[in-house]
Amino acid sequence: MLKYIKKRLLLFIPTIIIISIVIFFIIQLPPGDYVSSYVAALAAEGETFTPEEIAAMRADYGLDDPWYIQYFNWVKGIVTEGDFGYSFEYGRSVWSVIMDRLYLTLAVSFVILIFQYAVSLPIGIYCANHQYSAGDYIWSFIGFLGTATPNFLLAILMMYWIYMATGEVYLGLFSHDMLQNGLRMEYLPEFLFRCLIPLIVIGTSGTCGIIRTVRAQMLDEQVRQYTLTARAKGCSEKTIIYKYCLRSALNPVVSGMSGSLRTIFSGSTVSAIVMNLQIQGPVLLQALKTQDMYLAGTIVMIQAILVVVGTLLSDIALAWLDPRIRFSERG
Amino acid sequence: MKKMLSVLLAAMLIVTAFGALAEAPTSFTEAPYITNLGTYGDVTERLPVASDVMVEDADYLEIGVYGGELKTSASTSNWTAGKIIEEGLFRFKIDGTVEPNVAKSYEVSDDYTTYTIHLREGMKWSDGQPFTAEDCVWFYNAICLNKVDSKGVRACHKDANGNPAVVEKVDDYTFTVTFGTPKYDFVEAVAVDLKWHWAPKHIFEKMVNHILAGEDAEALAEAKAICGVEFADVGAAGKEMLYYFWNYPGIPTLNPFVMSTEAGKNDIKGDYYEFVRNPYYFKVDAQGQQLPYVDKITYTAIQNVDQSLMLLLDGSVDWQTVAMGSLSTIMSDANVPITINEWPGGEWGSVTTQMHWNLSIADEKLNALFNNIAFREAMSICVDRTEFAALFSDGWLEGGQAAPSEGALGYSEEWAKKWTEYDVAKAKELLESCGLVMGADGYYDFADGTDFTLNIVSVADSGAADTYALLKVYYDAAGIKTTFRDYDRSNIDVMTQSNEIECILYPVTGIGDISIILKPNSMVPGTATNVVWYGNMTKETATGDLLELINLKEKLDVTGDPAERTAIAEQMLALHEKNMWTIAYVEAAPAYHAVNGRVHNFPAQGVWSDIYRDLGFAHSQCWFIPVDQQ
Repeated sequence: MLKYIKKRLLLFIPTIIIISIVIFFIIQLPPGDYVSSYVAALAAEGETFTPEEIAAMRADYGLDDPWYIQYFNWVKGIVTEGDFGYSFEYGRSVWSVIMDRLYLTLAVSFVILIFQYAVSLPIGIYCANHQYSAGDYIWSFIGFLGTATPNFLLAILMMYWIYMATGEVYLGLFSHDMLQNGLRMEYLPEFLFRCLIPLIVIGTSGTCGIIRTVRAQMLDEQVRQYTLTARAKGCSEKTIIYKYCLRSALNPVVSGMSGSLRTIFSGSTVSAIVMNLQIQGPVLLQALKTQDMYLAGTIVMIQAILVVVGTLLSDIALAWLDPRIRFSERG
Repeated sequence: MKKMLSVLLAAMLIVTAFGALAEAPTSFTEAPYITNLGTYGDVTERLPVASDVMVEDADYLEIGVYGGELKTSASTSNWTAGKIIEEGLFRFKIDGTVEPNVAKSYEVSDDYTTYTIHLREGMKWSDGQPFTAEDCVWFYNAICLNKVDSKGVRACHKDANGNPAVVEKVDDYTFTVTFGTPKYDFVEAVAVDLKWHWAPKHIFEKMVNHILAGEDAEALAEAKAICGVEFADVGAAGKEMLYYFWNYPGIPTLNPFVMSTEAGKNDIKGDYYEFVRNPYYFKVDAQGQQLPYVDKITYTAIQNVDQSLMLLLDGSVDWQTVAMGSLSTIMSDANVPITINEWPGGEWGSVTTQMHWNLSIADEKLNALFNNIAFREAMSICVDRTEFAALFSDGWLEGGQAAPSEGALGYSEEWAKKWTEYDVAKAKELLESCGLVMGADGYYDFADGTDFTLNIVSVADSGAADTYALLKVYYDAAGIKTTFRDYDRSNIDVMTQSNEIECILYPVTGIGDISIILKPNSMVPGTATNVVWYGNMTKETATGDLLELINLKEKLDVTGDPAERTAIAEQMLALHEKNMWTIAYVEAAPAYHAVNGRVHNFPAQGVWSDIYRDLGFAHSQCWFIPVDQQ
């Protein structure tokens, strides 16, 4: 097992290098660069630039170098100084922009992740144990509805309904008063209410997949011979379901968690924009749109690293969860 | 709406006449907010000397009450907060003339080479330090001449030969600007081009000296000490702190509101920031109350303009400039009283329906076609404007043409209606007169048999795709094959800069502005780099009437007599009327400013133009909120 982890860790380095090159190359692909989008944005507000000014800006930002030189300088900064570069859009270091939103993003995404599993695991088990019952159909219908409805649409609908019911617009996690006066206990009820909207909107999107997976796996496991044997030997249904079937049924769920780290880091994007959540996803989208390449590159690279790490962790978790994998590794 | 410009002109002349008769206040009061802080002393000491205090006494203004905050939404744009609080050396009046603002008065020599500017005695920066001629002279000599703020010497400071002016201090409240050749439009050009003419020397002298000495590390350390921001290099520090100065905490200004210095409320890129009242602001109302009335303007970040509309509906945003399409939503769904103020703009016809062909496109066949007036006429008359305008604007607007609005210089009914009569048969004749021949597929081809397709582009999410869908029906009926593709805004800009665009619907920079004299960029080739219709055309490559247009602009630059300048401008506009280098299908829409009913003193009449800084006439320092609604 240790040898396996070591091998995976060594593979990690070339994987990240290749990913970073691909990321940087792709970010550079669209025509134009940050300066052109910056000039365009300001020109729309009436500011004028001479071609000399534009050229000087490109030189200042190092944008007139070929992309591989820019890549090399960026990587050199990361390796030698831990410097992920400068965000043109925010006018400060990339790392400080990421850190600004990291805690809120982690909190929001983590709560949503817990919500998804806390809701879908029991429902999946219930549906498997009550196959083709009314409850199975109702939960499956709700689950499918959650998946089939685009998140951003659900967000718009929820905000509309709340506006029509209360006359207030609930945008973002923090109200104007919270932003102005800081977080106080008196704001807690409103804050929790504001959290509820993204929780439902983003949370429901992933639930159906988990429900269906758990349901299908559980049904498969329940007709396996070991289940029959356990039942024949007089094991209680509770033991059969939770100790044997569920454990096996969780395999695909756990391997599916490998992408969760990335999701936790960046959060949702489109829904976050619609609901005005100040998390990482919208920052990435804006960085890509304005070709703020070091910021976009860093966020995407961290996401890639998290996918790689997540895969490793889920493999380890699987090995722990499923003795068959452990034993086959030993063998 | 069409006659608004002329009505405004007449109204303002009356207002100005009465304003002159009103007596200026001699005693002054301050906001309770300032009194309660107890740290600022007597208001009289903070204002300029009584005779130099500026009084905001326009006829439409009510005497306001102090307190409350104006709430609005923010983007990360550099200008979001700037335009509405900016104070210039001179400012435009609504009739288009210029009046002293931060300057108390000015004189100009008989030969128009020397301008003497008088400042207001006793005026102070927002940190309480004296504002003097030294700040104005140092700004020009240390910052502009050395390009420390990235902009360098502005057009307003250059003479006819392109040489920079000489700016000298006479005394603490007087400085001169001297040109090598007559500079007839200095005052207007300052108002358009620069607005401000100063920087707080007591704050920036050390930093700028370090930059000029090449001591980058020391300069960056100094920059951080001033505003708390770590800039990547001195170029960024200079540009951000000296050009976009209002966005940074700790930099004193002359504006009514300054960026908060409180953490969590002072980052223009953050989720929330505040501009708080300047205790040393130099203007008062007609009763001597120091302005501004409200304590602060608060900005909450949004990620989409529609979110701001939603916040407007529930009263969380006090004002917003909204699209025509949002008006019905505001009228039906707002939970608070909202007033819509229509301000006419300078654009020639609705920019959304403007069609620009690149007259300097490299492709020879297209170049010849676009430069053929018959082609442009055909493209104009092949559309049924009555039907199109009704569909396009839900009946809000009528069909129109790319021409100045009624009341603006150059307006003629003939021009406004030129080529607006729907006539498909004539359009086809005109296309054939351009050498196009009808192909077997029912679309015109070039005479050599090659396919003619008009490739129209536009900006994604601008609504142009819907406009094109309507227009395509007419183009197809006239045998004009078209394609449409929308691109992200940054791509369109790159394509414009590299002169790749053949034809654009809803150009980023539409033709027309409030004055061809003050801002000719969209109307005269070679004056900007982001206008599709003339692309990369210069004096060297222009021919015919386009060359004549450029020559007239050059003549305008060296002409002093106002009547003669107007005559030249009229000639320039006549060339546009004759050639119709661009067209529009619908009349220009005004700018709609939706304002929460609790906000008083938002002017119902104004003019929307970047020359006037968009909301420049709104004078946010005069807005107030009644006590029971604060």
